[in-house]
Amino acid sequence: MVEKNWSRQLPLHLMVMPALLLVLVFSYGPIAGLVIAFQKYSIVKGIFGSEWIGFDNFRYVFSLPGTLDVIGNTVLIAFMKIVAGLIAPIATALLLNEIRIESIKRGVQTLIYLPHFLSWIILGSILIDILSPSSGIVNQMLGLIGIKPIFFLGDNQWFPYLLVLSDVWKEFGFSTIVYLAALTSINPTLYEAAVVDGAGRWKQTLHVTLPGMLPIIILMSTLSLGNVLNAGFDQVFNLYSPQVYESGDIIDTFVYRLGLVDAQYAVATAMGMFKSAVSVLFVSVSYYLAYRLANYRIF
Amino acid sequence: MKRMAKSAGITLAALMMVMTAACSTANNGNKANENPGSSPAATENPAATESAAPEETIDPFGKFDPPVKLNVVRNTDSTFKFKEGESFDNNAWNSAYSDQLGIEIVNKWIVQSDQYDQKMNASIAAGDLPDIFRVNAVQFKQLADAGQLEDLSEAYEKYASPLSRELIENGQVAKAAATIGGQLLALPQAQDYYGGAPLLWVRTDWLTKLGLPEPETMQDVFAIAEAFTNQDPDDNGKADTLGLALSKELFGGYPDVTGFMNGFHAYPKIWIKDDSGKLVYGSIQPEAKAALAKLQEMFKAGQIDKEFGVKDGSKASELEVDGKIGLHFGAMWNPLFPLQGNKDKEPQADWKPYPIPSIDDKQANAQSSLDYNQFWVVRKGYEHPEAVIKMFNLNNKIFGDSEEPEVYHSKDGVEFHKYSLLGNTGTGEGLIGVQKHIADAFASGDASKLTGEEKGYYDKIVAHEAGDNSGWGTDRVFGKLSSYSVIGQYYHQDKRLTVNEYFGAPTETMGDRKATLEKLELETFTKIILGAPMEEFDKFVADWKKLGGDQITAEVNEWLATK
Repeated sequence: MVEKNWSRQLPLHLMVMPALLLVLVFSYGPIAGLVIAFQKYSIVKGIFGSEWIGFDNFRYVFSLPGTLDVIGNTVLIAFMKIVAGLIAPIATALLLNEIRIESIKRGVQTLIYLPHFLSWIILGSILIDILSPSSGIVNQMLGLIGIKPIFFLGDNQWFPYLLVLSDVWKEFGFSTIVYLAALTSINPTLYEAAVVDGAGRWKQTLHVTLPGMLPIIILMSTLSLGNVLNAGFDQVFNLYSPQVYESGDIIDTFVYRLGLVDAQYAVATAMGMFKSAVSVLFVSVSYYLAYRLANYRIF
Repeated sequence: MKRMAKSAGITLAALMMVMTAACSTANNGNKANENPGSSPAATENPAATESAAPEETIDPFGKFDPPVKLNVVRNTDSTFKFKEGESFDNNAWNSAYSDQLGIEIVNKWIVQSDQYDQKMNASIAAGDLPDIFRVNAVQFKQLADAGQLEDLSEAYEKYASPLSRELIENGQVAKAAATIGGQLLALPQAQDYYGGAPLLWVRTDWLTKLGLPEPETMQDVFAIAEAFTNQDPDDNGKADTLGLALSKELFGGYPDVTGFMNGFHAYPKIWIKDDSGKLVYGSIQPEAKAALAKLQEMFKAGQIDKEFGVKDGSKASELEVDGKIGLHFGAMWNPLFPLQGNKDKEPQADWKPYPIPSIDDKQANAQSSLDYNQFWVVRKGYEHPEAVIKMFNLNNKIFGDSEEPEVYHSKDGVEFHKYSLLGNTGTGEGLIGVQKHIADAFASGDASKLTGEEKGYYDKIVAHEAGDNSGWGTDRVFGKLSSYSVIGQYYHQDKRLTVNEYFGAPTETMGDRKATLEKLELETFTKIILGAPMEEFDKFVADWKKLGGDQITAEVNEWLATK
């Protein structure tokens, strides 16, 4: 019996082989390279020739003045981005779902989705102009209602929020699509039943739509929790300046200056490994929570 | 989800790089095992043949017979063009190397220029080195430390042509940077201190309009900045002009506070000798504090863009292009960018370069630093290390005599000189010579002696004089009154130049602490200009010393003792 199954499944096993091989070679194999985080790595001496120094690279990174500030900035910015990046698209998807006129719905969807395709290099330059305290349109509008110009990009109190806001503005249209897709999969008969029970639009949203979207919401939040140490290199790198290092310098920009500009590969790897370890931890915890609280399994 | 995929991608790429390194190091190990003691044998061999037949071999332009194979690697970008039927494997320079020297060029790999360093890192990690290749400072030091480079001292002494020797000896600092432990391990890059020296750029049509004299002292500069801010030089009735351009990087070619600080005898970011002959770091000296205090005063007076702190150089340049700023300190190439942009918009605008003025009666020096980042090296064990010297000789002969520029330099927009190896090596007069030759050609009316490169600039300047606005930038870099006329007269002839006295590879603590200390410096300087109390500077000096600066100073002085 077992024998028969095996021979019948053989072609399938063979078909999955190349993909499996790729994953092994390119995803699992290189994990061994993490060993350089524990070495005084020199490209000439290579992995096998470089001196083993244990946790010195980690100790070095954490002994640098400012490392803790940088981690603090990263967690704060990333966490705010995760929360805002969940709420904004879900709200938008729910609102769009209520629009009856198809062309308006599609139009709005396309418009909010466009900024996703602009790179931060371009957006950085545009933001500097529109947020300028002297000539920018944002401060001119604030001026109309009597608010003094705010130097968003140069003020340590505003800068982290600006990062979150501009990131959400750029990406929420894209994420909205995912939730809209989830909405279409809700069985219409549930709404009919709700109407029969006397539920209005609000009650329908609360008791039919949201529960229907819950699995995808949990999936998205679980995955995004892995980003708790990713505050967005492209964005910060193009918007920050020495003026706002205090509130805007994040792990990635720090590692960029340390690892790539100064070619300290081992130190950069150590920092990267630290980031991965924290991410794995967060993803595992949220996976467990999703299973316990919402009885939902992703894998 | 997308972001996760992206970060996974980056990690993956990094890991792949590491993986390649792992596999290849294994190869490297094998190779060493197969051939134990290969390096001593290799070094003995040439010596043996040379002593056997000394007369034959010592000819700087002698042809290898039979021809030898030479593995090289190349980088390319969109500026590399080829004539019909030509390529990296088949062109005038390859023919010259093979016909005249008996050296057959074999291209092991060719990559885009911006990936060259990474590809070279991979080759080094793989132990798969070409015979002759170009490396950066970090790679050079690592290869030298690992004993993988051939000592060129002997080949250089024997084979360098008089011209090649002159070019290398001219750049004593460059030669010292290429020499480790008494062995010449590389042909260094050209030592051109002048190209990086800052100049003062002022919009002279505004000077004339406001009846101001040309700047001779820093006090003049302050007066001009004040007048440009408050006297409406663009005549539009609005207070929308500024006195001095700055960017968030502060340093970096355009706009650059280095020149401003040099006017105060401060030399930021370089190592200078103090009265006792010890090396000290320029940014922490009291002169830098005085310069920052003045910048703060100018910022308060509204002479500097309130938003400079968030704008990078190209963003900051928009103000000058739009005719809102008429004064900055910056590099010799500023006429090409961004000033040409201003000239295109406002044809009546004119900018002139001036040497760095002084704050007191002491002469002000411009500072210049070279980070030696290009070395042509020979793989340890390559049988014919003299090949690299001979090729260098041949390059110099062809360029020096301007031999057949239409074959070796450029024609119809195709730049053949890019195919030659060992580019940017050895020091002549550099671009100061170019300006001089062009000036001579204008004086004598005879442009036939100019090289292809010089002729190109010459033609643009001629076109500018005939009314073509787009040639203005070139005219201001190489023309009669230009960056290089100022650099040649003041920095070269009058020696008004202070150079970075440290030119070794980064010391250990420098490598460890550079990122931290640079952040501290930039952050403090920016804050002070924006109005932080001046005590911040003293705190910066104390922090800088504590966070590794003292250690670096000690290491730098140790290095000095070995020179």
